[in-house]
Amino acid sequence: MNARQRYLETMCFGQPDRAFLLYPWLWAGTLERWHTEGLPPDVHVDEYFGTDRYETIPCVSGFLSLLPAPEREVLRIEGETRIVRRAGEGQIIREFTNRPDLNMPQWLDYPLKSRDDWEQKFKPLLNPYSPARYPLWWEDYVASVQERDYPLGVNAGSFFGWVRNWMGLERLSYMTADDPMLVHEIVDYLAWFICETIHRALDDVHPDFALIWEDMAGKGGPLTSPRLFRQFQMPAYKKVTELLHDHGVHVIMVDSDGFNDPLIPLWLEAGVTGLYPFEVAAGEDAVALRKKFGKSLMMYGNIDKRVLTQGPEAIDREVLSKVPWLLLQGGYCPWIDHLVPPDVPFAAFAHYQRLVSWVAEDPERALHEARRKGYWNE
Amino acid sequence: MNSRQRFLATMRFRAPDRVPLPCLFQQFEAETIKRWQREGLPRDVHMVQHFGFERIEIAPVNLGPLPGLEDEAEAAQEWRVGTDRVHVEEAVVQQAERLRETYPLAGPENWAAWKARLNPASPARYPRFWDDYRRHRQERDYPLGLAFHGPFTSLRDWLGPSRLARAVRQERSWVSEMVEWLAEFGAEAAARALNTLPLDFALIRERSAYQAGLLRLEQESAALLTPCYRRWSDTLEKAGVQVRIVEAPGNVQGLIPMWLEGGLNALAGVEASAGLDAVALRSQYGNELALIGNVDHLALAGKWRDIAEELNSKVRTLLGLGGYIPAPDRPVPSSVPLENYEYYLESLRKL
Repeated sequence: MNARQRYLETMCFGQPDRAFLLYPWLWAGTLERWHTEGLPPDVHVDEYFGTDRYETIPCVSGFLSLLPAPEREVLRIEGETRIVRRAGEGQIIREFTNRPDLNMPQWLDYPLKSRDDWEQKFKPLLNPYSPARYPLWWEDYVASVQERDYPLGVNAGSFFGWVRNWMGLERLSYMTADDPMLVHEIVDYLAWFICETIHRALDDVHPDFALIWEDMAGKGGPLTSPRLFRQFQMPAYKKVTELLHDHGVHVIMVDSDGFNDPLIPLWLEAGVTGLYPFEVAAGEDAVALRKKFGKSLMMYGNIDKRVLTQGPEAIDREVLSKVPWLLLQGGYCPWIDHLVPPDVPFAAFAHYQRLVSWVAEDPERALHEARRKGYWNE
Repeated sequence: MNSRQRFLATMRFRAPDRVPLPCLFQQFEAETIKRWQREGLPRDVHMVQHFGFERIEIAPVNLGPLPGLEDEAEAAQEWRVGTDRVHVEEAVVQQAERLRETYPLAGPENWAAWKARLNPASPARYPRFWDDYRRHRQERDYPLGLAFHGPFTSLRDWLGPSRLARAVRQERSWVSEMVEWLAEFGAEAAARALNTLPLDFALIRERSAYQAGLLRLEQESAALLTPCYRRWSDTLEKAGVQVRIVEAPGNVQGLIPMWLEGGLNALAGVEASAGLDAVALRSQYGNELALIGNVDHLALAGKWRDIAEELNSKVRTLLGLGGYIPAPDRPVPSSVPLENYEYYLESLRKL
């Protein structure tokens, strides 16, 4: 079984030869640390850990899709920090001058404040027909992926997360009450924009899955209510997922950190088929969700990143208490529930990856082991 | 003719069907793009596509130190994006000082440790899915090559110019040892690509001669460097790679005999503004040396008659003689208006 078959069998509740293994998401600082702890500096990390090939089509329809994207600009330096216009979306932030990648920035201002901003600054950067949305020599790329042996996905935009990034959560929240027509216009436009942008990829490449980026929940719950989601986002989702399903894409995953449970039924109603990364720290529980939603919900993740700092026994407990059973149910890829942070030792992650690979090969045996150790009692 | 046939015909002194314009040699400064966008260049296009350049690619094989020195390069970019010149320049000065003081190779005592980064078998030198990459490039219609860091540029980057100068004059056996290592390393690291993919050219980047002091140093090092070029050329020749280009800005006239002796047969850059005259070089070296470049980038900033003069007096002659790809001799600077560049391209295509 090749990686493409394995992925589709895994996600579609079939019979993979082993579970599909996604590559680990790592902070840059994590990799730097591991290089001092034994990870060879001249290897492909995904190859080293034995994960499967998994790619997305290089068309500009994903996380940062403004084209041309605003460039990074250092506006001024203030002591240990600097005020910066961010590359990609143009927010103004304060960040530490030294290793800003290891610290959260302070968000100071957002570029989308009004209808004029939307019409004049943003819509022109969201032209689905911009030549640079697709790579040069697209036909050659298409030919190179026709007979692929790995899963290939298409990025299918964002209907809350982008707008939140451009406006800030506070302004977007007020806007839904103060100027709901503008929010509708923006989200509807995004749905049209995504459909127009990805149509060519869907026709030419026939992707295996789609990714929608949102990050629309915190630890306490979603950043919008189910009622507002139904009002503003649902129509856009339906339009895009209908296009995807019509083109044979039946694995449609939403990337949203935090505690998303109140929105899951709405996503499923809107044609989405799954979610990731199910953060344990936010209260997500993939076992409970599988019991609740059965085969209607595909999942990646839900392995608590925090246990990677707590020693091998804690890692064994976390993995064996959910992964074997979830794999036996299907529709699940084992994965850490977000980027692996720099406080995780290399040896701990290597232990985790060995264990997950072993479980993926033989989940029945792993479930037996989980029962024997008292990590699984059903 | 497709782009591959056109490139190879040109570099072998045969007649192409039209003026070849492979995109690899058409370069612009970042500020130039910004200027042209203000002058009407669409902001959401691929430049290559917009200007109608031809496809040519370098295979993604890393033939340098691994891991490299990305951190320093990343920090240095700060200057390019900064608008607060006072503060940012201060940061850059500090960075530059740090860079000058911390060249990675201080002397023979840490050569052994540095060599560990030159392991030809490091897995990350090649894309993880190399077999897939090469399979889809067997029957391509565009030229594909490999890029090497030239031996002089490598030594300069590792030791810094002052330390290298001292080593060349006082520690020649150590320099020789490093060059020998680099020669074997390059040949071995490239072997997988050369053995599994029919490649069209190699590009050896030597970027130091624009500074007079470095040029002198490079000339002093010639006897030490030539065996490296020769080793790589022999390896490339054996694999059927007939086009072996050294890319070197500045007035490198005095270095050409070394490169020819080392088995290289094309020069890219050919900087007119540094005093190099491609017509004279063609006359001196005949079909031994193909040429890429030599369109004076300063002429592009002048009046249209200056551009026409540059094309008619030089480029037309060189195209007639063969073995020549026209290109600006430096990345096009921001003093060049978009309409000048468009006029240049339009006129060039008519030659």
